[in-house]
Amino acid sequence: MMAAAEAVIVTRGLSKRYGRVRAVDGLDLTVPRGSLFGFLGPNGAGKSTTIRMLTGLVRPSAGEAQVLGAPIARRLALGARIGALVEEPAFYRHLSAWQNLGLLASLSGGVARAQIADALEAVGLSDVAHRAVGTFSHGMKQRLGIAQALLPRPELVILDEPASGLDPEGMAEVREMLLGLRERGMTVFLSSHLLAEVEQTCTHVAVVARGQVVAQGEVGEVLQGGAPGVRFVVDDPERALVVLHGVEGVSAEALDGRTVEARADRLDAAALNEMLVRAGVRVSEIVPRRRTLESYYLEAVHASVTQPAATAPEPSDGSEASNE
Amino acid sequence: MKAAVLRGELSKLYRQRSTYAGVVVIVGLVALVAWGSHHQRDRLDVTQAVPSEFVVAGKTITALFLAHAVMDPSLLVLMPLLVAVVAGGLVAGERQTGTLRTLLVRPVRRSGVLLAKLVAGWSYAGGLTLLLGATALGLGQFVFGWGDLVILRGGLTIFDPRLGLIRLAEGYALAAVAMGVVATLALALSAIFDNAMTAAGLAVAGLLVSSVVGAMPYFEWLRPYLLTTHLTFYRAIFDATIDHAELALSAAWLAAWVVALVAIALVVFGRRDVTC
Repeated sequence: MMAAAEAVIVTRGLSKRYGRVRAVDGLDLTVPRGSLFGFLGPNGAGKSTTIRMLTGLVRPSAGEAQVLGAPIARRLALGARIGALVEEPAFYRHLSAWQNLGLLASLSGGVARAQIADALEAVGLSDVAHRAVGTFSHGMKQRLGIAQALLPRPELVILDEPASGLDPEGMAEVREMLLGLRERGMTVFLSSHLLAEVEQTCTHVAVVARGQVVAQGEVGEVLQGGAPGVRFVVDDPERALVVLHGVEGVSAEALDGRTVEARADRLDAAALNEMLVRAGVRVSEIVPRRRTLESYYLEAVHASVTQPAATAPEPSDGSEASNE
Repeated sequence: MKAAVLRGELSKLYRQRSTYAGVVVIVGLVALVAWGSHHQRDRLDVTQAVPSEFVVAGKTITALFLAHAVMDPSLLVLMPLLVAVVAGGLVAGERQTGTLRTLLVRPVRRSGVLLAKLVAGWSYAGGLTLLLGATALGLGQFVFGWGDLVILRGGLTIFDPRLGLIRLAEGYALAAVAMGVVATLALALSAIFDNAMTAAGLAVAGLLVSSVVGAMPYFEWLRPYLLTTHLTFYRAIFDATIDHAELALSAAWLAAWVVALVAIALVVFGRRDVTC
């Protein structure tokens, strides 16, 4: 376990019940300082409830959580050191983007006008800074939501689905911005459904399912984990499978009428190719398969589903699902 | 309560166009009453309500008269409705739109946010009440001119213009306090219910129920404790001799109501999870 001094978020046994529904159920999470942390999970897994607890919107039913070294009950003592965007960005529709940012930043001690201008510039809203937010599209509100989370200049930024509703260009901008925040020394904790985006940007991930963390680690280690694989496009898959099954430590399966996939802890694609060719199998393509965050995520979620349901949440009444 | 939180609440409230709907309604109402009074002056002449042997010389319908005449019709139903709609939306409205979430992730105390909203609600209630008086005086001066304040309540009371203006100022100040209590009631309900219209509707419904109960002889024993019994305490200002003890008692009851409502709102708002 990571030493508390190195972590900006530490939760132990964090739980939240809504009546009989366990939205979060003994969540243990450690977010290292300076990381870009992806918090993944299916709908209703407890991501938003966890974020709401970390930001003081919801009181935990049990367990402990520390943010920047302070228990979340004393979150106010942290002042402006945390910035957050929780779920859909919500602003005062009758106020302009500038006025909204000024108002919200003033609650965190206030900022110079130049900082508001910089924040709007960073999210590409300078041209509409003085337009009423009620006229903004969802994507523009999302950008403004990120901008407000960055004011004044927090150490920890908590973002709930920051790329939700953005077009591909906007998503790329958010990705660059997140990387920039980390370079500036901020820790970014974000929940997302966009696994490819998380894989490209995050340094660490945790997968939550049924209110519990079922897997977490550094993205690099996660992607290196699991048995590597290689796909062969062949003229005779049946004979190829016989050959591959004959190799010690190798598992193989046919994916379609022309493709077989071999997996092993230590895989020598060239040697396998040579065996196939010697056995009279014509190999037209060799594709190394690496583990993706998507496969890691799906493995973790499926593994949690197949585990005994001793702590599984009871059927949701919809209150949590609607929050995810 | 942080000054920034209060500034923020006042800024949000007074930059919202819908806040001024009440102003339009109030100014419109006073204008209609002034216009109607001007064109039906003979029927409204207060001298018709006194015995024929009375001789009333000079003007009876004046700016001061208009400012007093619009008080009860406005303050009994219309103003509480307008105040409840605005104050009822201060918490529940923000919960509905999600801005409460945006607000509360900032390093602000919930109690500070609620008290700032309360002050904003009071400012609206007080401001609207004073606007009623100022509009009535202004339009009354334009249409009828200055003169004595003639009161017809349990007899005929006539104040000279100077004393009449003082009594009106005092009366409107107390009415502003009464509307502030209505705002407190609506805000407390706004902290409890998720829907702004529910909070506003329940506040008005509560006042109406309280009025009905207070008017029934069977519930006479309950009358001293009812909010509506004391909301009209501004009327006592227009008696020839002011009963200060009665005024103080009503003020104390209203203060007790405010303390109780604010305490309930603070507990509920402080403990409720923000899930929408």
